[in-house]
Amino acid sequence: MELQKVLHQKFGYESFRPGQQEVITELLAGRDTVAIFPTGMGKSLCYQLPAYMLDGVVIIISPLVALMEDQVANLRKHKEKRVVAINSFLSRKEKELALSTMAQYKFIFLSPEMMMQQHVRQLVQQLPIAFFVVDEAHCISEWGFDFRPDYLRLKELFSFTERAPVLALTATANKKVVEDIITYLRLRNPHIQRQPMDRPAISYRIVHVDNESAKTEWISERLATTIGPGVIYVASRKRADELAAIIRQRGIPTASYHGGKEQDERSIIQEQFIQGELEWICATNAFGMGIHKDDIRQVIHEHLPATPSAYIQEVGRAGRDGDKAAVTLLYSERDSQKVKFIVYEDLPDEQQILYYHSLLQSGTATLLAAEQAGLSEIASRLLDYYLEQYEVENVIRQIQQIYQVKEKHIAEMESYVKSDSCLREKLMQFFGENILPAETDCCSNCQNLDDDWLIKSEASTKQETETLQWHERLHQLLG
Amino acid sequence: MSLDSILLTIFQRLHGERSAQGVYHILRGKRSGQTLQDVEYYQVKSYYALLPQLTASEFQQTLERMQADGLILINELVYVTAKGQMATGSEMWRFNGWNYRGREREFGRRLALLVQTLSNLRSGETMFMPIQKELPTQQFIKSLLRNQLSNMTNLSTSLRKELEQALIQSSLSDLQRTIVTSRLTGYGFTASTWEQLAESLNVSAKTIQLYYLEALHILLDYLPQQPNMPLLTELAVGCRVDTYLTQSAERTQKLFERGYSLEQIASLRNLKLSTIEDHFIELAANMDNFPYEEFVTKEQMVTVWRHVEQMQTKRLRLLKEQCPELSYFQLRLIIIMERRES
Repeated sequence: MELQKVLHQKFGYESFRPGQQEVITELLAGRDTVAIFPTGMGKSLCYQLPAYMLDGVVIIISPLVALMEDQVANLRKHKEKRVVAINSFLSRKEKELALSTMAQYKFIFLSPEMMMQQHVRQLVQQLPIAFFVVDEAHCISEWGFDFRPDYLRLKELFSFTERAPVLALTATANKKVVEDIITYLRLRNPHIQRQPMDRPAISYRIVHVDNESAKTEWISERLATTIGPGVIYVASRKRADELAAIIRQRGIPTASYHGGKEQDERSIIQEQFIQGELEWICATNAFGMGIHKDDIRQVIHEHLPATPSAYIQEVGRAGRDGDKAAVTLLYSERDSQKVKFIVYEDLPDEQQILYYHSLLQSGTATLLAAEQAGLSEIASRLLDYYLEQYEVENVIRQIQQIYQVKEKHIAEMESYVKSDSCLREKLMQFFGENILPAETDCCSNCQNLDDDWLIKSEASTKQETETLQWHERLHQLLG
Repeated sequence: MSLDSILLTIFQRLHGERSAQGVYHILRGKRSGQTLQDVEYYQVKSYYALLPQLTASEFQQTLERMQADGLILINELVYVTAKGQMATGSEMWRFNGWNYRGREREFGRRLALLVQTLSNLRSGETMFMPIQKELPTQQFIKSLLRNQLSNMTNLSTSLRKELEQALIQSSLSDLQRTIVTSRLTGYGFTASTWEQLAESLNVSAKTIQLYYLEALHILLDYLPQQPNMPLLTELAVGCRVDTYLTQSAERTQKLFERGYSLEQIASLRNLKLSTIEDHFIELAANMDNFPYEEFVTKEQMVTVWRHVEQMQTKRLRLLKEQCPELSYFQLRLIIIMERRES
């Protein structure tokens, strides 16, 4: 069959991964489709392959520049030259050039903000469009409310009777989120392809500790005795640096990774990790997007993630090669307080909203009003969006709803760490999936973990790489 | 060597005549009349635009620490203490900030990407993740490679030979050779981060970054005299500033060449007279044959220079007290011309 042929010729794969063929077939038939694939299970192919079977361009709307750049790099790596990313990081000249030559591309990546600019939208609508892709579509429901009002405005684009089909992609979406996606994107009788969230290769652990220093101790001991490659997720940049230094002192090749590092440094660290020169990465949640490393054996969380979907995304980076992977969440009593503080900090309360509103009514400039009402940048952006379309009472209700959603997510994470029953079962329930505990290697509560495979053998430790003289290095690199 | 020693060097050259803010502008490469004049007056062009990314808080913290360490004294203006003079060190930095203004980093990025590309291609690997994510850099290397006639393996060897020769002949220190090559990624080898270099070389990460920056300046200064380095020369294209004037000063220059006076230019361009005067100072600093005699006499110049010599200062207010008949503009011009004559 032709799909298989394209798969082999263009991508070099022999067979589809579960769910891909269904999505592609529906999309080719012109039907709107929602594809929910766990991280690393071949989401991108769902739009890349049909692009080659249809005339016209594919418009991909992607919320994060880093993600966009990564997808672009990946397509280019597969020898696709007709690809361009248009986002706020382009200079005006580059942007104009890209926009004026849009017709010659096959894949056009746009940020939602860029997409919804009037002239960009007009240019896009003149193109022969094969189909639209909305990447990370859960943002509509989850962050859409807080951060990316333009994601919500996408509905204006998709309300036309005559339009190309839309493919919404996401890694995590429960029923409610899928409903949001369908409503806000104006999808019509979409095909919904949901691949199971559960990854049998991953076994789950929760370790209760008394305080922060006990976490450091546990990690040091763990890394001395078990294998990598692995990622440790921490709550702050400072902690990432600090912990990486501690682990390095133990002679384990480790680096920290966070948004505070220069781009060059981040590229080098990623590459070293992928090449196996680094065993561990201590990272904030900035790490992960676009890391193509299949053999991550461990993911450790040192803080409580704010939502189950954040957690499942981060642990989902382990064991993509299908071999066993162990994930651990370290928890001490104060952790839920900490995560609440961080999450709620940005949300305005009723008084702030009323005060901000009255300031705006009396003609105070937006920026000044935000400052006087003590609003964060995110909070004021959020309020601006809502105040534009709702009465202030309604806005307060909306914000309260967001608050409740966040509260619910944190409560779910709390119930997860405090659960006595199967962790896998518990985690999957948050996504509406009912599964049975695994027979073996399930979780610390099932008490059926066999961690022999994790134990570090003596031989694998301490292999000093000799440092090369500079001219030797040049010869090795360039011949 | 560290940021401290750079700051101490600059503060000493300015001998207590400028505020810390002025030095911040120099390091960031602010294109204002005042800053451009300062670098000329006090001979600190080599530090101009050295650290375009330096943040105000980083700068402030460094100053506070230096003051706490007793290296400098801040009393509106910045003075270097005896202890600070001792700490400046005898090693001279060999920066050339004035000519590169941050663009030397693009040379470093291009070099890294070209080495990675050739290293992979010569090993038969055609798929790899570029270590440089910037699109302009990627496009530059792509078009460079498209225009090459020889095969990739030969090209790789040529690049290695050029690099080897440049690193040996360009008066880099051995440490700098190690740093430059350690920042290169290729097939089977990944570059080291600043942090990793700091650990293995036992030098602070900040200092290593400064050595690297200086190495780029030294390499870029070295290349123009080398006819036999086509690849490295190509990588350096556009990294040296070609016009030293701000755009606005350039427009003023054109009008001046057409015979308009300062006042006329100000009203034509709808700018303040003081702005046009700034432009003229910029022109005087950068043009050969600036017609200074249209603004000051030879005698006036000699008089002012004598005062500068006697009083050991270039502070305009003090000079103005001695020569009340001259305008501030004339004084500035004369000081700039002194630099140019010598």
